[in-house]
Order: sequence, then structure tokens, then C-alpha cells
Amino acid sequence: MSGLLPRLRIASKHRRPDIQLIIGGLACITILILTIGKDFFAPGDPLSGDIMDRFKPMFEGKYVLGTDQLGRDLWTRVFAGLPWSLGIACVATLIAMTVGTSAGLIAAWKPGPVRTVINRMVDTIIAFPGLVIAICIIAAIGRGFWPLAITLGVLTWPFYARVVYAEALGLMERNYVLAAQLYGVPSRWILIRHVLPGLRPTLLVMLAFHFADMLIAESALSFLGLGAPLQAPTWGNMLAESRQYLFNAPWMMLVPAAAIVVVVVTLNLIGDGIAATTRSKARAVE
Amino acid sequence: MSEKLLSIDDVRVTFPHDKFEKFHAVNGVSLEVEPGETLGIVGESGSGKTMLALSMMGLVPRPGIVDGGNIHLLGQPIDRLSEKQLSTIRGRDVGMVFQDPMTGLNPVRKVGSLLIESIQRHRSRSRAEARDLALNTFIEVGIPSPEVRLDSYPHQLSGGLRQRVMIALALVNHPPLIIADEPTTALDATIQAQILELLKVKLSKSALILITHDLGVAAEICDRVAVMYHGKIMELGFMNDVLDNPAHPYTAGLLAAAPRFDWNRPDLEPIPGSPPEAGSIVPGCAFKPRCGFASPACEDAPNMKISSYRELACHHPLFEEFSDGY
Repeated sequence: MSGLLPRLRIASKHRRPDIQLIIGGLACITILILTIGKDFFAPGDPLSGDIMDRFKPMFEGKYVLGTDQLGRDLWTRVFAGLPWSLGIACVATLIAMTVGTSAGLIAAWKPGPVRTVINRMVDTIIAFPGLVIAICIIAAIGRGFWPLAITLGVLTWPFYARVVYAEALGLMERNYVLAAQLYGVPSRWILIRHVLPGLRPTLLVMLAFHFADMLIAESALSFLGLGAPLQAPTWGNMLAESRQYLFNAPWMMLVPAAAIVVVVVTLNLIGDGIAATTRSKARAVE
Repeated sequence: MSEKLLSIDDVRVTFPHDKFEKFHAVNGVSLEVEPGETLGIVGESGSGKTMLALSMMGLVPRPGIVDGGNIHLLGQPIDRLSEKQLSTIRGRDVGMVFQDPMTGLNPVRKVGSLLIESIQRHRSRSRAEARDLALNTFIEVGIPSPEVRLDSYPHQLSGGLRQRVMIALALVNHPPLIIADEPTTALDATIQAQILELLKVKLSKSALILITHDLGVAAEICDRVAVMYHGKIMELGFMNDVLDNPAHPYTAGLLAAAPRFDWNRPDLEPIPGSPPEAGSIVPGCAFKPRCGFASPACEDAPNMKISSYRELACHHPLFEEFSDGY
């Protein structure tokens, strides 16, 4: 072994890890553990409660986070909302990223009518009020997990398409793309193996922020009654129910709102952390 | 169909200038390459050397087009093939060593994976077989500890090593023709000598087109040399012959401006003026404004005069054979 590789490994060990990334990562792992072990941490039934215990404030008796208007334990309900919210955000992000990245790459590779059609489509969807499209789609195919996830994905893929298109145009001007053509790599391979890896840092950062956006959008749509089935214990539904009792039982609003804020802040920390690390890595390479 | 390895006939590469005008980056170049020979193409920046090379691979960058002439590689008309057909030829029938090894390798890919990709593109090999082939090629081009280098990223390699990787990429599938575009420009003098040596030895089975602005580099390894100026070939002949007896005033000017150790001479004589800007249109002979022999006849562009061992485009050649009968 030559001396080069070990030295580089030491160098990367000395690079200071980003503090935001560490906090965000730890929080993210905690959230995942809580989601997976939700039956362990919150064993109760989120759909039934003791009507005699309605409107119990926080830290009263056995109710750590209080109860709602039907005496249901908010601790149990907020846990029950976790997989739903994270699941929808996850699926929606994946749909948007896959569709958007493919569309952006194709638009960058194929000038002419293909590029024009994709770019105009992107413009149209971004310019159109998202809520109206969401209402239309959900009115047509009904509420529930998949309709909501697909709707959010369809509404937001253009943002990926736009960013990927702009970045890919720049990457395709690089000499290594020309070099790959010189040794006979077909266009499809060049897009996937040479241009796509260069987009990785950008996509990772977008992914983190977009995931957070999707979480908020899901809660907002549920709040408006467009998302989850009405009885489902989701954060958006809990917020919607809390509206009537805002002044008498503010904890009903605070608990789901705090859950949303915690998850969103976590994701934003991760996004900022990745952005900062890739920036400093890029500096180190240059 | 030609029996030559590569034959180029009156090729023009054109770029649009504005709505009505266009200019020729390569303006009617003809040449042939025989199997196994080494041809140098020498010229200043902007003389169209690189565009000529890219046209041979069907890779003239947009908005440029090849709008005239024929390019045949192993009998295949390069200028009339689809992108798909071209991509099977590139790397298999013709390889190219790139000008700048610093930017020619994808920074997020291991260099070995690039080689394996090229091998699997052109030959049906399993990944393990392709890796063995890649390893052998690395050994062939003299990369130390090749097993480790296969899994290195470009930024972990020095400039000289990267250029060796580029050469490995060009010759991994043993194409009969390799085009090297300024392969040593970005390297320092010692590495330059090593890379030239490598090209000379390793490519003995393939034909090589060496594109350079450095006559010394061309003199080092080329059998024949073509001197380009403003998109045209000024003079083409056997290397030693051209060095000893330049027929074109421009070639003579280049030689007089080149430092030589074996030639005791007090001063270098620069060619007065500067070359026409790439894209400008010069009527008549493009070298006329800088030429000491220019006459009214030079208002007409000279045709290519061909003798048995030399091709020349000049109204005022420097020695007898070319000066009559025109």
C-alpha cells in the first residue's frame, strides 16, 4: 500500500463533523426508534378514552400530555400519528424525487421539443395553486394514505425537475462527460453513471427540506379535512379538533403542533448539516 | 470505401456566427492515416486542431456542425452515422486521450470503474474479467500499485497518473486509431517526457494522431506532420523532411521561433503579428498578413499542391520543386 490512502483517511478524520448534522441525526434516530417502538412507548388505544377524564391538562394523573374532549390520551394519539405522517411524507418525497429527477435529467439531455414540453409542464404546475389541484385529485379519488401521498408527490416533483435540470446542464458541460462520450458510453449510461452521482449532494439537501415540507403539507391538508379519514389519529386531524377548544384546553393544540415542529426542525438541521458538509468537502477537494 | 485506416476529404466544421454569417473552424482539410503510423497535427491555439479531432469522432460540440467533406474510419462514414452507431465506434475503433487530465475524469467515480465501464461497453465480459483487464491495462501504462489505483478517486492521483489513466482509458479496448489531443500540455517537463515515451512505446500497434502546439513534442514521436493555420493545413510531410526543409513560410517561421539545443543561434526570430482570431474570416491566404513573402497573388487562397512526399498550400514556396507550374 502506498502512503497516500492512509494519509487521506486521517485527514478526513480530522475534519470537524458538522454540529447540526450530529444533533439532527441523533434526533432523527430517536424519532425512528419511537416510531418503530410505538406500541412499547405508548401501549394504549388512541381511538378510545375514558369520557370521565376529558380535558385533563398536562401532567395530571396518568396523562403526561393531557387528554382531549373525549378523554383520549394525547400521548397515545401523538404516537399513533407518527407512522402516518412520516409515511406520507416519505412516499410523497420519493415520488417527487424520482419523477422530478428523471424529468430534469431528460430535459437537460434532450434539447428541443422534449425539453420544452418538460419545462413548460414544470412551469405550469408550479404556477398553478397547489391547494386547488389537491382538492381536485382528492375529490376524484377520495381520502386516505395513498391518494394523499400521490397528490403531494405530483404537486411537488417540478421543484426537483427544475433544480436537477439546472445542475445537470452545468454538469454536462464538464470535460468528464465529453471524455465518457469519447470512450463510447451511451447517453443513458452517461446520465445515470456520470451526471446523476454529481447531483447527489444537491439531492440529499433537497430531500431533507422537502421531507419537512411534505410533513407540514400533510398536516395542513388533514387540518382542512382533505387528508386523513376523519377519525384517524393524525397530527393534522388532532389540530383540527383542537380548534374548538383552543382557549379551554390549549394543550390539545400544543401537543400535535410541538410534534410537527420537532420533526420539521430535525429535518431542517439535517438538511443544513448536509449542505455545510458537502460545501466544506467540495472546498477540500478543490 | 477507402482502404486507409482513416481518410478525411475536404472536411469543414462550421459554427454559426450570427443569423446570416457562419465561420469555418476547420476549412477544407484532407488527410489520410495509415495503420500504425504516427501523424502530428501542429498549430497555434484556435487553428482548428481540436475541432478536427472531434470531427473524427463525430463529437463536434453544438452549435457546430460538419458541413462538407467525408470522414471515413475503417470504411465507416463517421459524419453520416447516428449517435447510437457512433457510440459503438468510439472507444472500440478510435480512442482519444484528452487534453486536460484534471477535468477529464469524473471526480465522483473510482477510476477503475470508468475502465470497467468502457470494457463492458464494447466487449462482453463479466465484471471480474473486466476488472482483470483493467488491471492489466494499468500495469501496461505503468501505473504503480495498480490494484490500489483501480479503487482510487481522481483527486487522489497526481497529474501524471491521471494522464496515464486517460491513456489507459483510450487504449483499453485496443482501438486501431488513437487521437491524443495535447496529451502533455497540462504536465510538467519530466512527466511530459515519460508520457511521450509511453505513447511512443505502447501505441506501436495502433495508429496515433498527436495534436499539439509544440513542434518539439511532435518531432519526438511523429512519422509525419501536418501544420495547421486558421482551419487549414499549410504543409504536410514527413517529420524529418519538414524539419530540415520547410517549404511553407509559416513552417519556417515556426522553426525559427523554436529554441533548439543542437543549433547554435543567438536569437529566436518570432513571427510578426498574431494569428487571426478563431472565427474571423480572412480572404485569401490566411497567413498573408504576417508573411514576408506575401504578394498580390496571395489575395487568392492557394490550392493544395501535392508532390510525392509533401503537400503544401502556398504561392511562394521556399524551395524549387513547388515553385513552378502553378
